[in-house]
Amino acid sequence: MHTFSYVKATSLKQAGELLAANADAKLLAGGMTLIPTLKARLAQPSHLIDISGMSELTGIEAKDGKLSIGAGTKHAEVARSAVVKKAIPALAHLANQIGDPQVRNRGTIGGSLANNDPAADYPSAALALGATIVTDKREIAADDFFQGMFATALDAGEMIVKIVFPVPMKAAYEKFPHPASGYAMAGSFISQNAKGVRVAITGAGPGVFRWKDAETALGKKMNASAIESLSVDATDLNEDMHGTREYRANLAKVMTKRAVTKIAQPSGK
Amino acid sequence: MEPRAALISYDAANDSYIVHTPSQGVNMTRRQFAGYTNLSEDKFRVEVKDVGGGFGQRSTVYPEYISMMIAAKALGRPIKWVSTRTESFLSDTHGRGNLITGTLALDKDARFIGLRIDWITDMGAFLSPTGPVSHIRNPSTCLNGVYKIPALYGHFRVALTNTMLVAAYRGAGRPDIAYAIERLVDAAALELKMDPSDLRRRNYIPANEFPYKTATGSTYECADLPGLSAKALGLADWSGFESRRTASAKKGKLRGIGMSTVIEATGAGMYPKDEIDISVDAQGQVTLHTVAHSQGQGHETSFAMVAADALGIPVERISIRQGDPDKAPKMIGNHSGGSRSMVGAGTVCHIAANKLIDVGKSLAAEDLGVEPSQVTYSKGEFQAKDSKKKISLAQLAAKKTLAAKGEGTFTSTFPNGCHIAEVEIDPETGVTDIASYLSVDDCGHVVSHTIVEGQVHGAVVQGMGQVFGEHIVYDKESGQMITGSFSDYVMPRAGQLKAMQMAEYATLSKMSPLGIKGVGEAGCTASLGALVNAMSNALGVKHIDMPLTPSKVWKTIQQSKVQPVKN
Repeated sequence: MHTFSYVKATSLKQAGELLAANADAKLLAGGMTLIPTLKARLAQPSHLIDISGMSELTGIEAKDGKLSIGAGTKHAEVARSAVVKKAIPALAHLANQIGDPQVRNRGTIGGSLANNDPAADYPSAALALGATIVTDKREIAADDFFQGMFATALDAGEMIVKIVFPVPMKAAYEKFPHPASGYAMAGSFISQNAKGVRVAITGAGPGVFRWKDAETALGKKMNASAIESLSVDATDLNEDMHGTREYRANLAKVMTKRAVTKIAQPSGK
Repeated sequence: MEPRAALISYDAANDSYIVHTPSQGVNMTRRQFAGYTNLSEDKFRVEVKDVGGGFGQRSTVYPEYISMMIAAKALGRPIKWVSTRTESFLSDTHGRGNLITGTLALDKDARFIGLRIDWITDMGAFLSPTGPVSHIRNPSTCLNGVYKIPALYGHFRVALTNTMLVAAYRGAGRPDIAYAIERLVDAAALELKMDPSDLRRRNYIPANEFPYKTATGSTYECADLPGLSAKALGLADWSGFESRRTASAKKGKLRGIGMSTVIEATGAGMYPKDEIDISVDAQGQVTLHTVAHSQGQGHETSFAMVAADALGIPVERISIRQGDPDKAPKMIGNHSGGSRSMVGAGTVCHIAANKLIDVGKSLAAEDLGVEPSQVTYSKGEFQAKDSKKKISLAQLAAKKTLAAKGEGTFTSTFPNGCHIAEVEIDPETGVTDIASYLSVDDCGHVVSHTIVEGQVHGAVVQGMGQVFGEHIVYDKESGQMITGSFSDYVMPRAGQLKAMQMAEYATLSKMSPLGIKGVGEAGCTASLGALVNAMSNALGVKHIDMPLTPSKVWKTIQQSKVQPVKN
């Protein structure tokens, strides 16, 4: 690990000032991606600005058909939250599938979305649910937020404050864990509301994406058979020693079918 | 497994080195240090404490240690190194880098008449101390497996490449040859449309032909292969498989069954004998010194059980000291590897304890005022036959030095086993669930059933890791290791093997007084064949190469168009 200066920020304003003053500073929330990156000497920030535990970034609230989650909320907190379980049980289920207990007790939803790892779980929920990413400067629609592998619409120095999810009628998430890392080889998040169905696939491609053919088919009939004849275009998907792009395309479809079967159950959970 | 580590300091006064490092045995480590440096063995004091996993990777003195010696001497300071996980992946010896092609010839009655094996091992950039022996000598000692095959042909080659070294890895070539043979047998059964268990039964070496001299010159000491496999087939309900296959098919799953019957040579060492020093203190505590070094096998328990049994005293009164840096250089004995420690050092614990009794009888005779022949020993006490006067181990040790040295020389023992696995595959994702796993092992006399079960269980899981995911991969273009962390290297997980049944079927070895055969690697040797045979059976293919990742299994299903069979 290279050396760096550590600063514990006490407010968003202070964190923002520190970021502005130090071009090579990085925010540290749960550190579940950043710390291993530092240990492997793949990054050399001048400062780590610790924003964990900051009160401005915490809180889970359901009001007026919207579920709002502070950016600093840990995966375990989302997984356990009675408010989340009542509003969007699929989101609590997703949070409980991330990493292992240690990761879930440190990693945060804001950190996951800002990092936009192509195999992370949360981006699929944000995109499928049509979430709004609220930063210290503006509001960004999930459709505009994710811009490919590790790329987002966030400007330099911009910080996610909270994520606002419209509460759907029904939603479900199914994931195929990578045999080594446990990250999603393919994960499919489906949501259904009055406007229709949205399907977001994570893990399979260079970034989270919507499977629009499936959305159309499932909008007509929420049944696994509705997408049996469809296939995910494998052309731009990821390929490595653990799976070809054809395999990932298959997994994306199988996970979608399983999510549909789950969503079609009477409980919708 | 713990990452590799060492702490090396230079003793200028004696021009010698003090080495702290995990190892499978201090004497072997000292010998290697001496060999690499042209210094004498007495220039190395090697201190080994608890070792978190050996598996062959801790039987090698690595180049890092030599560079640390140079640095320690140059700087006059102790040098410490603890490898990161990635450094472990890159620099610990690798295993099983084999490309094996086999041909099995059968006569019209499906009896094996010849076996041809062509074998190439990727040795890495240069030869490791255990690489060639593990991949040429070891497989050729059991080249016919458990079968009567009159003609054997083996062509063994090693290739030097630009990767890390390939060395001994749990089983050291025996799992590899057993796997090749057991795959060939299943492929033959598939071609002949025979039940694989029938084809095996027809070709097992009969129990009454042991000791059996193989075409490559090994003498298999004892086994009852038909009896062993009959027990396994019964426990696994082999004949009831079709109904389970149908039940799986109703859930949309592909089910397969596979068996593997294997034999391996274990226990021979590279030192001429194994010694155990035994002594008693004035409190009656018995201490045994050994140079075998446990890496989690539980010698502290099983060696103590042997000694306690011989001495007729509670096991709590026995202490096992392994690799004491002051004692070990004066002792002769093998390191722990090749499933040899219980056969060698373990048996010598029995011999040493009995020798201690003999020594004690002489000493007690003086004290009791009788001839040694008139002294009996039972449960920690020496007694004069006539006067009934007694003296305990502790009382005797308080007066006199009560100690002995036991020794023994042992050649190979031939543990064998029959393992049966059932797998259930999800054809949509290629994910495999091990529905059941049964092992029946003949490791001769069992000292501790708990420890033997632990050894078999661990080795089967290690085999399962190789079958379903473990694989070191280098990038073809850059030569960079792709699997340099647990993000890419697939470790077996505890939940993958949920239901395992273990049983024993012992034929006692006469190679040593206790009748023990080695067991530490038996699970690896048998599990590769059992699991891949079950997978081939489920997939309806003659062969599929490890590792059987979900991706590969799915692709195989796509190509073979196999469907769940609903009878």
